[in-house]
Amino acid sequence: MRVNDCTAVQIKRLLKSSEFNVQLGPFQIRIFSNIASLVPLLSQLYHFYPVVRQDSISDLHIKIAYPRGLRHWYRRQAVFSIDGGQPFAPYAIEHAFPALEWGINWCIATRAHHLLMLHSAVVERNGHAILFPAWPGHGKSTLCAALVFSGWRLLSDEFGLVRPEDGVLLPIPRLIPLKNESIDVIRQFCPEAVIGPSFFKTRKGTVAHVIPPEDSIHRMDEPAKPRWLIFPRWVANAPLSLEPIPKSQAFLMVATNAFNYEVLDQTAFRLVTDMVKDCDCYSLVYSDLNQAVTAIDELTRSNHG
Amino acid sequence: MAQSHGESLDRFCLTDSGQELLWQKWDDAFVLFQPSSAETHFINEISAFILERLAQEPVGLETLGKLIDMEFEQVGEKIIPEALDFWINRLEELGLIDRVDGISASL
Repeated sequence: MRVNDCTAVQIKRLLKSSEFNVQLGPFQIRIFSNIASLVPLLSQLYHFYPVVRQDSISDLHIKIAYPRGLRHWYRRQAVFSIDGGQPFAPYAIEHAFPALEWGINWCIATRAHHLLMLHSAVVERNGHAILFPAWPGHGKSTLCAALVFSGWRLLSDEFGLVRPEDGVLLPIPRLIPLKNESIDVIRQFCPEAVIGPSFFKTRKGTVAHVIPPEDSIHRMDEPAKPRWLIFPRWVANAPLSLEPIPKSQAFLMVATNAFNYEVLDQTAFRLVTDMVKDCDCYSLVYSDLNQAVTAIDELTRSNHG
Repeated sequence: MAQSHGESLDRFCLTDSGQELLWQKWDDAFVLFQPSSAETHFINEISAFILERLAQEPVGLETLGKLIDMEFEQVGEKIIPEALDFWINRLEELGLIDRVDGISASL
C-alpha cells in the first residue's frame, strides 16, 4: 500500500494515532502529528511512498505537533521531537512540513551508524552510481534534481548510505528540497517535475520540495555500486570545469565530508579507501545547469564500465 | 624530542600503535589509519619510508638520514637534519615511533 491509496481522512487518523509508518529507503519512519495542515502536504508529496504494516518495527518514532499547554493557543508553533527529546527550537506552524523533513534527515544523520553516511547526493544509471559529496550551498541538490529528470535514478540528494558489508550504496530517495533561486531554476530546467508549495522565510530561506520520479521511489530497495566521485561547486558565472583530481585529495574530501567517519573507525577507513579506489574522481565547477548535466552525461557515457 | 643528526645514541622503533597501522598509498601521499586512536593521518613519502624502515628493525638517526638520502637519491638533495628531526618528532607525537635505548645508554 502507498500513501496515495489513503484518503485524507485516513492519513489524518494514522498521524493522530502514531500509525503513519512510511518506508524511506532502508528506514521505517513512524510519524505522529496533530497538525491538520500536514495532511494535504503528505498526501501530495509522499503519495508514491509505501506505507508499512502497523505491526512492523519502526526505526524512528517522530512527532511533529503543536506545543503543549497555553503556548498551543497564543502562539501557533510546531515542535519536532524524537524519543521524547526536542532537538530544535519550535518552528512557525507554517513551516511544519520543512521542519519534519529536516528533522528526519537529522535523525538519520545522528543515529544510523550501522551505515557509513556521506553528505552526498547520489544518482545511478545502468547500475553505476555517481556520488556528489558537497558542503551546503555548493549546488548539490539542484544538480541532483536536474539529473534525476534527465534519465538518472535518484538514490538520495543528501545521504550517500554505504553498506559496510559490501560497500554498495543504499537508496533513500526522499523529497529533494530546493532553496531560493534553485526552485525556479529547476522549474525551468524540467517543467514536468512536480514541486510542492514554497515555504517562505524558513530558517533556510524559501524552500520547496521536488517529488522524485516514481521509478526512483519504486526501486528504493535496489542498491548501486559507486563508480564516480564528483565534487560539485556552483559558482556564479563560472565557466564549466570538470577535471580529474588526485585520489589522495578525493579520499580526504570524502572522509571529512562523512557524517560518521569517526564513529565507524576502521570500517570507515576501509569503506572510503575502497570507494575511492573503485571510482574515477573529478572536480566540477559550474554555473549553467544544462552544461553541467551534458558534461556529466558525456563523461559517464565515454567512461562507462 | 629528537636529538641532533650527529652521533646520537638514540635508536627508534615502531610502537605497538605503529605496528598496527592500516596503510593506503595514493599518488605521492600515504594515508594511515591508526586503530589505537581512531585517527587518520596523511603523511609524505619520507615519513612513510621512515615507518617502513623502522618496521624492519630499530635504526638511529644518523643511519636513517643516510638511508633516506640513498632512497631518494634521484631527487638530488640530501635530507637536512632539521627536516629529519621534524618528521621524527611528528611521528613520535602521533605515538607511532619511540626511542629504544637512547635514554638508558646515556645514563
